[in-house]
Amino acid sequence: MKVIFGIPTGSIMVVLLVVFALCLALSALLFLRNRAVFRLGVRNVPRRPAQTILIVVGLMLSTLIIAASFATGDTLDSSIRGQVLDVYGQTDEQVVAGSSGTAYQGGARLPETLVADLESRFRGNPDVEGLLPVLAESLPVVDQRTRLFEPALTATGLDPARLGPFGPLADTGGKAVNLGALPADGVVLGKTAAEKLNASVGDTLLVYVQNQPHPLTVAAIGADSLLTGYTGASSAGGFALPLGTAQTLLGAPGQITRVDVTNRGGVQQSPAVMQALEAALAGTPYQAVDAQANELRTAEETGNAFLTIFLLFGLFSIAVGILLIFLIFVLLAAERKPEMGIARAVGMKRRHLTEMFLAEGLAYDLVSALVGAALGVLVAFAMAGFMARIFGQAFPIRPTVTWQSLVIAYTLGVVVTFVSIVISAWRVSRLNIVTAIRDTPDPVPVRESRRWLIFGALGVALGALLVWVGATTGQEFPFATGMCAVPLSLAVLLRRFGVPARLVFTVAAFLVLFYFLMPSTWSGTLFPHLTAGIEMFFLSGILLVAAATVIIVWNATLLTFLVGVLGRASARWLPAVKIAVAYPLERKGRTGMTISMFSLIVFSLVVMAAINDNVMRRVVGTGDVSAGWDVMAVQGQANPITDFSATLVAHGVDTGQIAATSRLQVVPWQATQVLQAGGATTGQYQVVGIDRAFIDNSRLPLQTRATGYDSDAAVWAAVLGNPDVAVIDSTAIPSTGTIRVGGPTFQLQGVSPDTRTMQPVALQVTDPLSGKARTIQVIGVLDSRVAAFSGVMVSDQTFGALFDRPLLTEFEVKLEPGVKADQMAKTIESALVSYGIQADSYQAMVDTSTRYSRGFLTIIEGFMLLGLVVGIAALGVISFRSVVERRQQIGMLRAIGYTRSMVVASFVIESGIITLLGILSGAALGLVLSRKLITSNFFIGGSGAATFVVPWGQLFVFFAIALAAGLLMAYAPARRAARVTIAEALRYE
Amino acid sequence: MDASAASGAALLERAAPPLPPTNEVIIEASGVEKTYDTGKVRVVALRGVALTVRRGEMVAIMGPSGCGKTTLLNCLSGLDTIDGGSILIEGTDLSRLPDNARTEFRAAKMGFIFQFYNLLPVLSAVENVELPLLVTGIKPRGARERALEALGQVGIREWADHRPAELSGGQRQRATIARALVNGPAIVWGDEPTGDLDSETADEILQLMRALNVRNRQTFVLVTHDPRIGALCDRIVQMKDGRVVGA
Repeated sequence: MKVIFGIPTGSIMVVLLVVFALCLALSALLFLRNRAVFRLGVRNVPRRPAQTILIVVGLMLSTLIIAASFATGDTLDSSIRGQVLDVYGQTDEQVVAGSSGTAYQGGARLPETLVADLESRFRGNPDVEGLLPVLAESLPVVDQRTRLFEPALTATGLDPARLGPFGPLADTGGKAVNLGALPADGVVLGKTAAEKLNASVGDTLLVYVQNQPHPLTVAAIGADSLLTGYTGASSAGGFALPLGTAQTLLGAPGQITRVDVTNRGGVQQSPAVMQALEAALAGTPYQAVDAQANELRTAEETGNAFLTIFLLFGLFSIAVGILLIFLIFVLLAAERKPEMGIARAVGMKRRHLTEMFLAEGLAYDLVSALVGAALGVLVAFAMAGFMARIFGQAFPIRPTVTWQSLVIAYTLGVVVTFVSIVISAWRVSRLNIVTAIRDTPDPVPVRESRRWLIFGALGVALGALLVWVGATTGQEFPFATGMCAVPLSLAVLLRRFGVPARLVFTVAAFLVLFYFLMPSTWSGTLFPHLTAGIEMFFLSGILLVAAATVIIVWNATLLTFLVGVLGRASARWLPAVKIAVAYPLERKGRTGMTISMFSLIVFSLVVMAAINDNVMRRVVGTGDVSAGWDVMAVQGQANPITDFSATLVAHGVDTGQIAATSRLQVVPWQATQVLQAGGATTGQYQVVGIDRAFIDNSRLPLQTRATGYDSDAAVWAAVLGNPDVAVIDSTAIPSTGTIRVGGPTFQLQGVSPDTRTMQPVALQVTDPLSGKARTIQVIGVLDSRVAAFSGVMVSDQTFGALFDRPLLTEFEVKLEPGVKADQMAKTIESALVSYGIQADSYQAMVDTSTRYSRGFLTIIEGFMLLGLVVGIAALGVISFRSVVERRQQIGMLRAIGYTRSMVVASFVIESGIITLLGILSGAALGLVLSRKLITSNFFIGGSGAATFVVPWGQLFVFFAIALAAGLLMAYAPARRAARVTIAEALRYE
Repeated sequence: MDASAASGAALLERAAPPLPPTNEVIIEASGVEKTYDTGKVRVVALRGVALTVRRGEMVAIMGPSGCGKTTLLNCLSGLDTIDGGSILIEGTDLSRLPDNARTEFRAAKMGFIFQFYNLLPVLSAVENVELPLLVTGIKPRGARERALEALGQVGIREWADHRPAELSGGQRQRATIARALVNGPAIVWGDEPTGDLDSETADEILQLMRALNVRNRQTFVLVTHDPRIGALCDRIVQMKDGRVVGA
């Protein structure tokens, strides 16, 4: 089920359809009640076609962003789902050894007789169609003809007699391959494995088991699936062979590693089949897992995660879109002020004006949401294209959009826009009839009406309540909202008592800025400890930008200083500058809205770019990721190495280039059970046995250590010397603002990511295969920068006491200065081919990971740039409107001596000033907030230097795009206005 | 009459006795043709208009609505183009000048007074008045001094820092006149300069314009329906159906 912010999308769609219907019903009611007013409103739509186009573009952007987010979620969901269906085919459940709840292919064996037992139990069961015993093992393989090798292909032994319900094996041309009829040494090589080995039918493959080569012949190239050893895009694939042959090859007669189950009704029947399997396996050391359903759930979770991420980052653009809607209606109202005044004078009520705007707005809304939804899908597909270029090799991307997403995007777009229109229509209907008819500015009251008193008092009360709620629940979102609502509401309250607007709003806005931007140490002292999620990014952005805009708008008279400077610098452009500054100063509302639009977008882009850049630098630049190791060599179980260094020497590797090696014994999270003392549920987390060489040759800083240990070294010494203590990596610590999809299910409670000390935490670690358990005290948390190592890290001895054998063995290699890690990784891999060693340099792994991260972040930033389109559209609307509004004044300016270029310059400079103020305010706020975040304990983990680097290059590109677009949007209408005949402009009304 | 408005009459009283206009021709139009074509309708606004105005003369162009008065003023002042004939201002044919040169000529030699004031609402009175000076490259400080002086001449110096919305109709028109005169133009064009004013204020404005005309020996060409303006001017040019029918 697709879920967004915890709510099923099905429910969201139903609610939205109801609200959408209500909007339409309300509009229909208005039409029926007063057709004339409704028609008057709709008749305004074609009045100015160019302006109508701009309005539709402006209104559609919110819908576009929503649609793009949903379609991206659908694409990710569908891409992973498609891959799962390809891989699993007819396999729905699996029976494996242990009781961990996941089907980890760790090689734990089951007796083949289990299949016959299960068949007899399930004979006549309408849901279970077939059972298939499988023996799978990862093995090194060399193609004798091509001389290419793969260190880990999955040999998959299948029982030909039971293969039928799982679909026959097929070659790449779709032709069925009879596994039972293959020659004695024949195998069906999977497509991916064949590509990696460049193998053809008839090739001889040397397969290494217990370090001995066994020749096999490629009888056919088969499609990739679980049956041919393919487990997903990151898999090298494998080959299928008859079960008997596999058992002989692996020396495992009568043994299998799993039983695959296929359902008659497909994966939908999984719950019923799982129930039956669990009943059948009760009391045995075996377990059933709903493998395909589980993978499909992960697909859905990934889709949901992407939808949430894109929607969250899109919120800024949506907020900007809503501002644009208000702006458009403010401008429309300004344009029609005299006629609205006359309408009111001849008897129209405020309600009629509201209805008129509503009718007009709905016409724009229905069309623009449709265009927005369609363009949103196009944007999402374009992003899918970029994703395919970045992740394509690891992850096939299939652009998809569901009807449900389209309906939600359209109705949500219509509803958001409709609500914005209702509020703005109500606002613009409140006009002063006299000033409207005369088209003069409304008088500024010395003190505001009683309504301000009521709203101000309510705001203060609500703000105080939110502060209290935040403080008692420890949540920053309500606390921060309240802390900002109180001063802003107080300002409103004080206006009622005649305190000057500039003073109260400036002071209130400075208090809001202070709250968010004060140093963490101050807020730590002043306020209770609060937890914050990613939503704070949005809240802080909105409130910071609003506060900064208030300060700018109310104190913009300082801009007149600029006029003086320019006047001294260039008398030629002074007249243009004078006009360019005067209008934004006068029109505070529209100037403020446009500045805040640009500011919001620039703020979000700057924060994203700055945090990404700094985090990336920390990961890539410090070299701490691998704790100082250069190469990692991973080995499966089929060809064990007892002494890594000696094996290297024996196979001709120049160990003079190697400074140190160490060994890590690993049981992946899927094959473990971990329970925190006092915890209710058992989770799963990787367990790693480390040797002395690893500790002696690693840089392993801790971000948190238990009381009683005065140094990191003391903690590590305890891990080696005390079999009951461990260190855990930082990803085990729950972190707000992180969206988890799949992966380990255990989380360490009671330790904060931004504290340096902790109390030891007791964990019970169990091997589900053997049932052996041990209680271990966690006495330290590894620094987050050492990202290459994860798990509960215990000594070799403790590991050996818990687990019979590691499911993976990692050898760490540290090289002498000047030795190339990539080259050494290749040398090790090719020298130890018979052991199935897979070696990679850490730098190469970091580079790949960084490339993916950067690629993804670039897509997010590109998505956020959509908000800039909204800002640019706003400038377009304002410029267009300004030209129309000032046409007569342009005529007068031309008459008294303004040249055409001066007129154009005044518009372009005006637009430039607004854009620049937005950029500067957004950039300053973004940088200050990013710096505060990057240098906080949350990011640096209590250790390391608190440095902050500004990615100026990237930021200047954003700024240049924004500024250039802003200037361009003003240039076109201004140029047209300047070319109008003066006499015609003077006649214009 | 408010205190500021009284300054117009005072100015007139202080002015030297009216001097007869010189014989120097400052505006010379002959055979001026102008047609508006909207695509659907073709309107011949001026049909071979010939007109001569001498330096220092105050001329009223009068006639029924739609006879082409405003069009003639726009064409004479270079605000609009002509389809035929010629117009010489101080011997310069504006129609032959490129736009920038024509604009500079206008900025240096002409001032404009419009019926609806056409002050920029976002600037104060003094800022509005100093605009023509800034356009011609005069330094801001000097421009401000001269603008204040011009506002003083029209009697609203104390309203210098007020926005147009804060001024009465008469004060706005005074500000417009100050703006028209601030750069010492040879010709001041007025299109219904009293059209939006009550009769008392209109009288004050007329007195003021006449006084300035007399004192500065500037040429005034005023398009009007108002017979009082005609009575105050040196000469009335009567128009009908795009033609000058009496001068």
